[in-house]
Amino acid sequence: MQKSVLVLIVFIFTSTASIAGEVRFIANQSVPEFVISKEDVSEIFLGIRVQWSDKTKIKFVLNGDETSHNALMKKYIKKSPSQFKYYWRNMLYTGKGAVPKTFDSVDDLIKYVQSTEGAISYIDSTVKADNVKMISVK
Amino acid sequence: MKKKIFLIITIVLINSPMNALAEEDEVDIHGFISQGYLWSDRYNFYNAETEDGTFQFNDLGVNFTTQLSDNLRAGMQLYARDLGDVGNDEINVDWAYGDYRFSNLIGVRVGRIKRSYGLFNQIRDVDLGRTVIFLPEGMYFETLRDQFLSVKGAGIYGTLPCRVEYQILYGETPASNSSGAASFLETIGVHLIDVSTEPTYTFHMLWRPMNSLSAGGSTFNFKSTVETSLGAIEFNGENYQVFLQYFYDNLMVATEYQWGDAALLFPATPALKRVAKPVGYSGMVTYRFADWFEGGLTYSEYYIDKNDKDGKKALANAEVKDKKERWLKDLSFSTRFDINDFWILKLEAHRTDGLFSVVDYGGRKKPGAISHLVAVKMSYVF
Repeated sequence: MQKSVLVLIVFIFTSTASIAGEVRFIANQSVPEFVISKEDVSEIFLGIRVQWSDKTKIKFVLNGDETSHNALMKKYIKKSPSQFKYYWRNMLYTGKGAVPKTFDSVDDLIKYVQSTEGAISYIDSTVKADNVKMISVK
Repeated sequence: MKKKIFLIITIVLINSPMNALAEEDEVDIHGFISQGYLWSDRYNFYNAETEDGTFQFNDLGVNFTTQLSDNLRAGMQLYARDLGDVGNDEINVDWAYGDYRFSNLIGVRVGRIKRSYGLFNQIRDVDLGRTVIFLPEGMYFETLRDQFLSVKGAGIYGTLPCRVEYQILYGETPASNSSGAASFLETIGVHLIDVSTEPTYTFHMLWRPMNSLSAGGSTFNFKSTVETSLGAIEFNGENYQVFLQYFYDNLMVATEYQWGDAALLFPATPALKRVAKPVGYSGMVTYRFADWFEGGLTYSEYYIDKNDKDGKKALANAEVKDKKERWLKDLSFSTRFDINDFWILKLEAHRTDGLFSVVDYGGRKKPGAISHLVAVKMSYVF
């Protein structure tokens, strides 16, 4: 009995643990910034910062790859994926914002960023992406 | 009324993608529907027959938003709820406003806007965006929800360079004759005829010194006149809150404190004037143990008058039948099960000392100090 309880506790505590890899940020060529801060990343993906320095709208989208998304949450947003989901549901149901689009295919995500003015997203550091601007985070 | 609700559900169920990027000129439709059950071992809480157990605990919200241009958004949410005698599934406009964002520094909203106070007032109806079923009563009174929920007017908001978000609102509080306050008056034999409100202000600031830490403060005032079967009653006051929230991986910790002034004035009989200095505070800890399971512990206290915490003065002045009506100390344990992306089940147990949130304690001459409330809620989000 005690073993079963122990196994259950270990299962519960470890089932949220996920591997967090490294991500890099890609943006549309129109985006004026080359370098942004960690705080900027957080504010962009929480919808707090809405405009680039040239006043064009920031259009951020999410990566459906769990490893990349977890890395973004852990290193930059400082919320768990579920807390991030709560945040955007709260924004949606108070009229303050739309739930950001998630791309399940990284190719589709890169195409979106390539073709959308003001777009920014993140990909696994091993994924190659052409015709986008690489944004450094200081 | 049920036909209207059915129509809304039908419209919404055919438009369900949660993961949608609102393109310009497209109308994005989302919503939620929930059914709950309440049971208490003594007394009736929240205007509901909880002592017998009740299913009169449900709500429904449907919102429509559109991005008209890069800077301009518009939207509205219809909302209906039933909590005992309150709401009765009547559909109301929850929020409806136009939102123009000039820059990161400033945006303007005009219409019916959710009032920002404390950490959670804006999202008090967004059950699916939090762990707990009931927000801490020491900060957010379920019975008086309608009085503090939203403002019909205009406001500015934005983010300052020092990582401070702000919101300033000015407008009237939409009044309703089927509100919790009206239901409360009925229980003491006073029939509400009409409610009118005067424009009031709301200030809210949130500072994020780190990505994981938020601290802030807010204040608002309220001025309303209630026409009742016993004459007019004016209800005025000011409220202030400070709060702190911290995230660490799957852990969330929040604490809030509020204080203020409140006055009940009776123009026909000024001698009945009642003034109080309410104070309340809360602490909340939640932890996501697994993708499908989250737990939380919340404690809050509320006193109608900080200068009469034990209620002895109020009892001596015959303002209450029992001194326990003057406070509330609530400890709750919450669990949340995310069955999938659309279905959520919550179970919550409360241990309550005091009668502040108890609308009816059955005329007992000596009510007991401790009572327990169990809440179950199942929600579907689309």
